[in-house]
Amino acid sequence: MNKYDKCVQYILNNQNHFYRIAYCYVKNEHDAQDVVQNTIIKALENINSLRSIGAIRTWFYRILVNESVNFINRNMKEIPYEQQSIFDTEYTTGFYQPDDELMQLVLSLPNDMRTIIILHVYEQLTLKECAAIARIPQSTAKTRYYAALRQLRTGMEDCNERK
Amino acid sequence: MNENKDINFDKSRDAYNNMAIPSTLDDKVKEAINMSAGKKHTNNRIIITVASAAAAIVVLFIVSVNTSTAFAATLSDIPVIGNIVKVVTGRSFSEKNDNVTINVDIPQINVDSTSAPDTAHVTAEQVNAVIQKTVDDYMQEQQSVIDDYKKSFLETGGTIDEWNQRTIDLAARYEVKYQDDRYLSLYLYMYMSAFAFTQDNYYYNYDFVTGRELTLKDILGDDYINIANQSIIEQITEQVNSDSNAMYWGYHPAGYSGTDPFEDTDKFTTITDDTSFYLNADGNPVICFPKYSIAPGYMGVREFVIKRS
Repeated sequence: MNKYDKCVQYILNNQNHFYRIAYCYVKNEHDAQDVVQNTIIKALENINSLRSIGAIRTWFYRILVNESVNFINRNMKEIPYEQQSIFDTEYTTGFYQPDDELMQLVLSLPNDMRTIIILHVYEQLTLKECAAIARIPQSTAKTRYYAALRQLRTGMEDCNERK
Repeated sequence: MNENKDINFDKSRDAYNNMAIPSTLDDKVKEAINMSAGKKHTNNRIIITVASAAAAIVVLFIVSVNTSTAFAATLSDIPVIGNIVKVVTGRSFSEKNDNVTINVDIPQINVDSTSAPDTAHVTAEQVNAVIQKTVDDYMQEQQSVIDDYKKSFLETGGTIDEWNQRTIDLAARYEVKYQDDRYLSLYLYMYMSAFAFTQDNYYYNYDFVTGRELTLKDILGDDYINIANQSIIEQITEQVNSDSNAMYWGYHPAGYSGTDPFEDTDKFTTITDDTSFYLNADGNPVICFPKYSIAPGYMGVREFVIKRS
């Protein structure tokens, strides 16, 4: 089996992971599937940039995260004055909302922090892998991780107070 | 540092892992693979053409065997060939030039000198020469592909050190798929693995009693086309319905909602007299379709065993 074929096998076996990650950025199932499709096409077209098959997950997730973030940035530019209201209410209305409060908070984190929580906490990658995916030093990944935890903790406290 | 001790992610992680996956995802994923397979598909058309050019050389040879009455007559006088024709590795060598590793095993058909007539030697030599030429042409062609690539790699800012870190494998190998008193089925394959992986496959099937190339008609009878087509379509249908990773152009499991860019052009409909095959250990023909021809590239060469009735 060559690299291309192995990559296709990897994609077929891990598509649910890709969907969940993309969902955490775009927050609706249609866009998440579009992002997954674009990521697959981009990955297979650039298969030669994958140096060794052992690094496939880090390599693929990097493309996936970039595609996801680019997707939200593009859509924010189209509707610049209504970002807030769109993301708070209308935009999410009618789409799947996670029941879990903590997960809702994770999904509202800034992109940089969200990436670390999704990959490290949900996908259970090491901080070293997260750093490689985000192309940042490991120390920065760690800083972002703790910053994200602090923000989540504050968020949870607010939730509890409101109850 | 126990900063995250007061946040328990267990429930949240469960919610994440149990996120509803849309039923359309699988088809969308395959659609994306199809689209990119399509790009590779067009590139590889060139390789298929090269392969058929090489196949033409083989056809020329077959003609020469068929028209060589001396060969046919002599061999048909011989009832048993088991001890007369033997396939051995004729030329075998490995060499490493810089970062290119070449491994070659070329098959050679040997004729027993005491019991076989001179014409049999001549014919075996012809077969051997064709195989030799096929391999040599392939090696030469791939070497020029590598040279071109190296040139453009260096011209576009790559350094010689970076080039030398790449490993390139070039190889020719063969397998005797079937051999008995009468038939010989030989499979020759050559590949290059560098910036991309390409492989060319050749199948040589001979009836040494008649001295002719063996055809599917000889094995399956006059209705060979229908017998083979029916069996192949049954096998494809079974595979796409039982294995979610199996894909063929134009054949999909019930309820497939994605598109298929090659349904019109590359869906399997029928074999032809040019379709490749070999004989397996049971003596059943195995029909082979090159990579990309009837299925996306990741499916590789597709093989279908057709049982003789």
